[in-house]
Amino acid sequence: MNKVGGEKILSIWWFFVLALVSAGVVGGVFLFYSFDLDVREVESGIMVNRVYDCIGSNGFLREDVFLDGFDIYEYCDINKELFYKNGSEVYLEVEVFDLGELVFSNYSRNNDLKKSYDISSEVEFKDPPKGFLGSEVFLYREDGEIKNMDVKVVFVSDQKGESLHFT
Amino acid sequence: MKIFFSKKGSSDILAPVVIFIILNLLFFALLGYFVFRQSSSASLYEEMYAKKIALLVDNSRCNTEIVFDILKLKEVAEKNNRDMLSVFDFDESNGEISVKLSSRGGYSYRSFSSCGLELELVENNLVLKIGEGKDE
Repeated sequence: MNKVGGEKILSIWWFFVLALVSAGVVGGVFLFYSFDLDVREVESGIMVNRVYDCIGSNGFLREDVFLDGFDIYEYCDINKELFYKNGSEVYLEVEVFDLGELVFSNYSRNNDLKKSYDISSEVEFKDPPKGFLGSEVFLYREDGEIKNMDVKVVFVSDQKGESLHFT
Repeated sequence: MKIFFSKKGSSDILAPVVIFIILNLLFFALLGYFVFRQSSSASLYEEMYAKKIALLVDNSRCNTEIVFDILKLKEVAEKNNRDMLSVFDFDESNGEISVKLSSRGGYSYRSFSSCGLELELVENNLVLKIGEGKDE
């Protein structure tokens, strides 16, 4: 085999290897950094804990929950508008059961989000909303009697954040 | 490496080998620089810090102050010639926390707390002053 020809073939081959390596690294880096930091599940857990923290005190359910006109958003310092506006990206559901009987409930507007979240555990689809389902037992004092109340809190989030572009 | 060896004098042999090594080193250095640039890009830090702040606020009770280390963010802002005073923004009407590290854009994420929020820069820290909210 001609030596000069062999050198040429090898240098072309070497450039091909370099191009392949750089394409792999560049592609990998872009792919890695283009992924969103998904915090929706963590966010849902935080919000569920926020609700439990404000409606309970030392393991007891606060009596205020059963007052007329009780607003869980105001009581827990949660921005209600974000849950009731058109195309809301979040859903909050609070249910209180006394021996299996529903005694308090509050559902925010975007029920479709909750349905998508429920379905996502059975059917696989692209980028479903993430959520957190909490279930806790609180004590409640009524007429001198202490009883158990089951409190179910569900928070579903589809908030992905927004990139801002200035012109 | 056999290709660079010929039957000519030793000085003729050495030159192409050195050039070959230098070019290779240059190539991998450029590749490394590219990876480093990408890993410290503004958009990544904008998203990371906007989400961190929003989650911190959601996870806090009203009337709370949180001191938050932003040294790394400051370095990125300086690299982009961005004044630190214009990096953070909070829109009280929709709870949107924005982080803008370059003049091209930024990133915003919503907090669900209605307590209110004030942001204050103290040296390398960001102080999150979460408002009073409802009357206790």
